[in-house]
Amino acid sequence: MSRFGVFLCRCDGNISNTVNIDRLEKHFSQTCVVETDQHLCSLQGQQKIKNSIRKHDLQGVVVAACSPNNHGKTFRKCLSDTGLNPYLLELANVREQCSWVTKDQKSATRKARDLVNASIQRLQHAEPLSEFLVGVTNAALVIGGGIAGITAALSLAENGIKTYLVERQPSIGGNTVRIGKVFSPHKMVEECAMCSLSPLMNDVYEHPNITLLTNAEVTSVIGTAGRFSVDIKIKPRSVNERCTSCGECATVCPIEVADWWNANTRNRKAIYKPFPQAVPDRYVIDIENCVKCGKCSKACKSKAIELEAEPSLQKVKVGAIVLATGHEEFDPSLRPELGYARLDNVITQLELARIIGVNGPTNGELLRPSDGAKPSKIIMIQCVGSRDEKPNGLHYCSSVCCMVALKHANYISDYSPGTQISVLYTDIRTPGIYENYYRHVQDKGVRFIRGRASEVKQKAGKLYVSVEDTLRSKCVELDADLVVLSTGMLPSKGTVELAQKLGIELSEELFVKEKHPKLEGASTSIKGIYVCGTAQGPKDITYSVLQADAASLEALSLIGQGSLSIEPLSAFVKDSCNGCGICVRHCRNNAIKIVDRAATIDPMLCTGGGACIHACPTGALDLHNSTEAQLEASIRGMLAGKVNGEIRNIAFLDSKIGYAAADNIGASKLQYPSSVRIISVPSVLRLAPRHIDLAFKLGADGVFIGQGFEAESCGENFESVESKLNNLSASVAQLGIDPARLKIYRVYIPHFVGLHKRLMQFDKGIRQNDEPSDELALRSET
Amino acid sequence: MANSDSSNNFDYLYKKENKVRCLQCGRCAAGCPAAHVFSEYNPREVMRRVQDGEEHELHKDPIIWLCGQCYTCNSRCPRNNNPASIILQARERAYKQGHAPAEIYQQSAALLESLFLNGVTVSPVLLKEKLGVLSELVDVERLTKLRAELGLPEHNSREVPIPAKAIKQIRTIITSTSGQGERANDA
Repeated sequence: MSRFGVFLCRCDGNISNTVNIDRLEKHFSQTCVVETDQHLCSLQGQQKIKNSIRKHDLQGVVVAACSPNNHGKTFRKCLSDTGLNPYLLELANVREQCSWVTKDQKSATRKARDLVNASIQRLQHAEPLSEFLVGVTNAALVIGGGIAGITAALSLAENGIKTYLVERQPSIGGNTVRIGKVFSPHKMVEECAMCSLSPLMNDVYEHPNITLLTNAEVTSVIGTAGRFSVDIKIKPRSVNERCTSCGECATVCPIEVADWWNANTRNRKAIYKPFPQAVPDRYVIDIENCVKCGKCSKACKSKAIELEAEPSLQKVKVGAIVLATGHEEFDPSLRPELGYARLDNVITQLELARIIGVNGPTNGELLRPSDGAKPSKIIMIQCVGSRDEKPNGLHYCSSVCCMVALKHANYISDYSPGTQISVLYTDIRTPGIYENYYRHVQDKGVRFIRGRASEVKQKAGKLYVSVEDTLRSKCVELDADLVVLSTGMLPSKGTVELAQKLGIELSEELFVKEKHPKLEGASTSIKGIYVCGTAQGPKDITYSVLQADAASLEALSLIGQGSLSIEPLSAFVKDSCNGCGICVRHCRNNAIKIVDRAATIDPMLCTGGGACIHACPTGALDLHNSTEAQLEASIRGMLAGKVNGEIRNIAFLDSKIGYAAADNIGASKLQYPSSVRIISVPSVLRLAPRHIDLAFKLGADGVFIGQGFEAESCGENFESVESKLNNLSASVAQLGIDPARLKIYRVYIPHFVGLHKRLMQFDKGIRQNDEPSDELALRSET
Repeated sequence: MANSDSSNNFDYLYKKENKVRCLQCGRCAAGCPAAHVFSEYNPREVMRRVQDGEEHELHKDPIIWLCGQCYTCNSRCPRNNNPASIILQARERAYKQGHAPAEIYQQSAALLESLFLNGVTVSPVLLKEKLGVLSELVDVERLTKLRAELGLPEHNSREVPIPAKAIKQIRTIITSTSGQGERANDA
């Protein structure tokens, strides 16, 4: 027996309130050196581990504590500090996947015992590994060209980093362009958004370190921190650099479409310049709407129009990525009782911003849409779509709408004196010095009525808003000439799409989840990818810009390291390789080459998913830190000691998304039966039918496979992962295993609630299905 | 009757309404037709009383009989609360504990009797003769005309005789589910 140390963390009750640590201590003392601590992650706790390694000359360490995603690195360092190879460590996740998800002390203790046991078994097959250094690409990618993306790109470029700024629209500027006015809580006046933004946009255009790619979107990202390869698809602009912005083309263009830059309050042509200060300062053809009639080409004196231009693809290599993909507005027509889209004079705050914007549909004059008359009574309705749990509602407070309403109320009071404005609110949220604005606007005579509007009706051309003045318990119908809805903020579609491509974690609300809500507010779940602005959550310009600087600082400090140590978790070749080359075809990352009649694997290119391993006919491939022996030991360990009548279900989850989602179930304290035992695999492609078969032979009642939806599983796209999983389940069926006992599920990380539901359903299904398991008993005997 | 006062069930339903989560925003009241007519009735205030832990007193307050059970409050509530259903629970409790107005007992007895004897709850005859509702709606001639205008079949579905077998089943249900069946039987 090897000399192993088992360290049990109480986590200040987080673990020990449910798991009987004393019992575990007694149990494992028979075979291992055992120590317990309130906080193994503390300096004192770490010292205890180090002292014990030295004192007992330990050959391997099991730490039973929180998820490896929390303190895995901390504990590895304890080993390397004492000269023990850091890969001779196994972590038993007895907090997120045991004490936090199990109420019953007995079952929790038993499950913890099994998790530790599985770790000990696995540790017997651990191999010492060493990390290696790779160079970091001295370049960064910023996705999204709104105020956050612009700020991040400039910060990076100023610090000497080659920066690519990718924007989907034909001009940078984003929503800041559309809102027209920004509030200044120090001066109590509304400033021109463009006056601050335009110089920044010009700096981006002229900066030697910035490559601006507009009309472009990121289609794929592969690689890891320090060495990402990114594909960017660029839509043809169809107007070249010779354009002088004279506008003749737009005059003759026969196609009119709604103008997004004006919040659809007016139309633009199919050839257009988004707004006068657009960057790049050039016209663009919207190829989705252009009919290629050629009138613009004839009108253009500079011969700048290229109707037949094709989309192009640009490949770039960067060390870090900053996401600044922004937000969208809640669609108020989802609340039909408020009349939007049905009644002309019910508009959103963004539309009001366009109306009072000098380059908007009325050239800045406050006129209402139905008849162009000047409204004398305006009602603003707060919390439209926000703090709303009805279908499609946003459960959160969108945090900026109170200030937006105050800003517009203040502006209108100044520029259209005599206009009566009432704000119908649920709660006014003006934190910090923003409160000054509230007081200031109250002084201006704006009415504040505490009540959420229930409906908007139109009678004889006048609007009536039903609301209860809840402070007076009075239900009233207020008349208005114009009703303005303060709509909530939701993550842009681009944010969600990109997050799925990158495999980064989203919050429950589908914003990009920061790595730590307090300490790492601009980092994402993936190293090397950072986030800022409204892609991360509702916030105003001030906070978007602050976060953009934080994100670029994070990116800078990563790139500035020059090189990064990489975990040696690649596949490797054993002596039995005969050089047949079958594996080469199975590796989408082109990491395998045949040299001198044997396969060699480039550890830099290998992403360690393990798809190649089963492709090898001679069994000559294996995967570091997830070897056949280690995987088998995990399966054996998780099923060891199963007693008569007990149910055990094995859940294989990929280490990146599935496993993290399972941790989130724990962090949210959702409960599931202790029969579910989770085994982390680098990717589910690592699994072969023999692993599933082994689990059933050892007495598993069910096997659950959860694969995260992500771009990178051995470079395979999702469809091919899917088809490989289908093959796996077909092979398992051929082995005579009841298909009802095997469940394959895609894990979307924001929906750890979904994973929880599936695990519960699966476990329940297995229990209902469980005939006295004669067949299984027989199978395990043979 | 007393044994069927399901106070546990009552608690459960309150819990389901997420009473403590009410924002007191007044969207329910602003959309409530009854609150517009009766100044003493306000669904938001009903929710406030539930939040304050006074739900078990609610059944004694006559305002609960002012609600029209249209459920607009529920459809407007941003937190998916349901004041109308809370009112319904309070009414049930009031009825069982003898706090409902006298005409409620008369009406419900008449409805139950009608159901027991004829297999239908409300019929024009019942409305007119037993409940004393003298609305124009009870004018059979006018109803027939209205049906024609609306393109409905001339036949009034309420006049379709209920099969004897079905009536027998209805009676069994009534007798076995409430003590009131016997009373109706006596009548």
